[in-house]
Amino acid sequence: MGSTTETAAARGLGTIRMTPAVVISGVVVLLLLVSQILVTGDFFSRSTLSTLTPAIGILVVVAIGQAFVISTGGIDLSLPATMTLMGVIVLKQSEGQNGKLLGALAVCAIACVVIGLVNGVLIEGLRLNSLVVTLAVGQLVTGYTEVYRGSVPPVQHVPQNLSDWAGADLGGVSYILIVSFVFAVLATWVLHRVVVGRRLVAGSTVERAAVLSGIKAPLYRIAAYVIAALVYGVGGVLAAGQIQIPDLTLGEQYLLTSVIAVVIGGAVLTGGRVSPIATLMGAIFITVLDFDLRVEGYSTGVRMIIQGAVLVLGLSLLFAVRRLPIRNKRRS
Amino acid sequence: MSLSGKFDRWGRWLRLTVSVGAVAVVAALVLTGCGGGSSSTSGGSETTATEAEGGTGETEPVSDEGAAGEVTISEAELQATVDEALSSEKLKASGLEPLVKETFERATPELTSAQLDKAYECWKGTSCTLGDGPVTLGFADNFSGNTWRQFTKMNVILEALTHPEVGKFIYTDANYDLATYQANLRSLTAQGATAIVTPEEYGPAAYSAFAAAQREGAKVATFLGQPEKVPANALTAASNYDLCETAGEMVAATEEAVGSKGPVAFFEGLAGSTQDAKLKECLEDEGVEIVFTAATEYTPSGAQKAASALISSGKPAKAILYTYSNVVPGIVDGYLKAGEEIPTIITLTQSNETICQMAEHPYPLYVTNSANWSARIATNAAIAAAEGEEVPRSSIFPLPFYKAEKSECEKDKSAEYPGPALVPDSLTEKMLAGQ
Repeated sequence: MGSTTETAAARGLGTIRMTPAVVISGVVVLLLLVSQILVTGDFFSRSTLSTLTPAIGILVVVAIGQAFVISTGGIDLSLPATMTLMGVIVLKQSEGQNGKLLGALAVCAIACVVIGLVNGVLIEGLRLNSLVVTLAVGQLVTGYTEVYRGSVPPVQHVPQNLSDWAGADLGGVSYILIVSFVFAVLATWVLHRVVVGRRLVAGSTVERAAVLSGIKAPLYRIAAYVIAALVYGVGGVLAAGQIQIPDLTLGEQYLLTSVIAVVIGGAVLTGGRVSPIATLMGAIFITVLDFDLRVEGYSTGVRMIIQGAVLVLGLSLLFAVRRLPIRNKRRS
Repeated sequence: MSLSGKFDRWGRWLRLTVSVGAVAVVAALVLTGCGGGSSSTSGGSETTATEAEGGTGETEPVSDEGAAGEVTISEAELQATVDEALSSEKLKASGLEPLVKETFERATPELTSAQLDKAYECWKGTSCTLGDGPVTLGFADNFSGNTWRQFTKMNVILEALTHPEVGKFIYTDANYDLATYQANLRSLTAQGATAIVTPEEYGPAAYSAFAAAQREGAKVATFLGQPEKVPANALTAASNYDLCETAGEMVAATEEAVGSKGPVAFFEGLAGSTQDAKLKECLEDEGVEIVFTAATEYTPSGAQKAASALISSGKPAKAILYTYSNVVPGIVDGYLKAGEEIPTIITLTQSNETICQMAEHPYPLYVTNSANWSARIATNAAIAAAEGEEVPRSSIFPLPFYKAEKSECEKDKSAEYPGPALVPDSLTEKMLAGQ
């Protein structure tokens, strides 16, 4: 009798397929309900969504970039410096004028490709440690950003077109979140359905096997760093547009949160398959949790304790979910 | 050969090249350091941004002719300086503490064009020679990456120019890192600084480094923040606004704006800031009803998040009390996006963007002067102490709030421009032009 019940339960779970993405999605839905019912009665009102959704959107974008790197078993500490540099490039190159925005964005893209290439080549080409390399590159970029920006930048406001777009919303939901959602879906499709994406995943998750299969795994792994840097660049430009007067702290808050979003989206830091959709859910979870704790008026210290505890619980849950199919197989 | 094999071989070659290159660079640096001798003054931890723009700034001294100490000024002229510095006409110069008053007296006379040029050149670099005197003045800054910091640096230089006893000026930037800040203090004394000026931002964490600098013979003077339980050997002088007096001013502004002492929201800066905690305590002692508290990390996005949380909390705050004007636009943006009425905002310091935004989207805004000149008081104290003079251990200056007017928006100036800062107009223009 007992075994019959277990088998039925396992079959039920198997139907839902308890992947990390499903678990984190369920947790996010639960958190949104808690936010609406227990924290603030108007969570889904325009006033809340209009300020919360841009923050989620930017984190989603940069966390997906971080996910590309984490999938290779690395971690990218140059993320905040890259984002901050984007803010400064937008200011300096555009001089606050709409007409020069496109040129500024082109310079941003070039800078990101260079940063990503330096990271990728040093890590994959020289087999150096990703922590050390990206930390050093981050320092270089930070130093360069300060020199490039100057003591008192004459222009401190991004072009109006950029701030208008970054501040626009659809029924309270920021364009940034909408774009980041589309980006997450697109990234998932590319990684799972397009040959290049599948090779990227193969090169990241099982490098040796990929190489033996004829896939140029090191190139794909370098490409992961370049793509990540470009994605941080997009995040940096969006963040600059959103706050309008980007300063040297622009990217600071996104380092740890981007890693957490990827990890609670089910990725492991030693590398392997990542899910952009699960990362999106992870980003929503972190931002909404922080928002709820702020609304409740908790101090920074208490917020950190609660966030840490939730993270530990969440990771334990994900670990248990990952073990679930193994246990089920053993039983059968 | 497989691609990974090529990479391995290429990697070995590149590793070798990088290693040889690194050794060559280190050798070159060592040789340069040995041969540099008297011309090199910048410490390893000094900011590179200003070096790149203006080199080390090592230039010839100018004559101290026209220095403030030698010029007689009238009471009216002094009062005009005080009014500009405090952005208020309510306070009389005669009522100020002696060192504060002396500082404004020194700031009153117009500088010669040679002095202005010298100040500008010195501001662009990390070290310079201001005069022939024996005092080496060090400015251990905590950060250099915003306009407020740069105007404060200029104030230190302008004040030093009024002291013929100052010879060399050295500037360091810790980029918000305590360990770097402590190392910078050590590097200043190693370079012979006998007077050190620094913002009080780290509290007790910095006191042991202050004490070590004083043991090495430097006189350390802080500005802006209020030192708490500082050991006698750690500090020579401090110039700051009194937190509880400022809280009283905030309360008066709140009552003027909303007709009562609350309910209000209190936005903090950095988590765990003793200054914010003390200010909040003083506000509560004054009977202010604080219904919501949030940290902003002094960043625009942090300010937006705090505003968003306040709006969603539904707490009926009639005013927001804060300590840093630069990120107030983030708070206002939060309200604008939410389509909510912007409450009264009462904040220490001011910035051009905050006032211009208020001009565009009117709401009651109370600010103070940005008090960049408070660094002048500390400079004055440190130099005098280095010359063996007795200086007051504490100099308190007032920081009155006033209601900002739309006309104060200066569209031709940059967003972070901190308002009247006792920096001559010609210098202000050059600084803001990024020349």
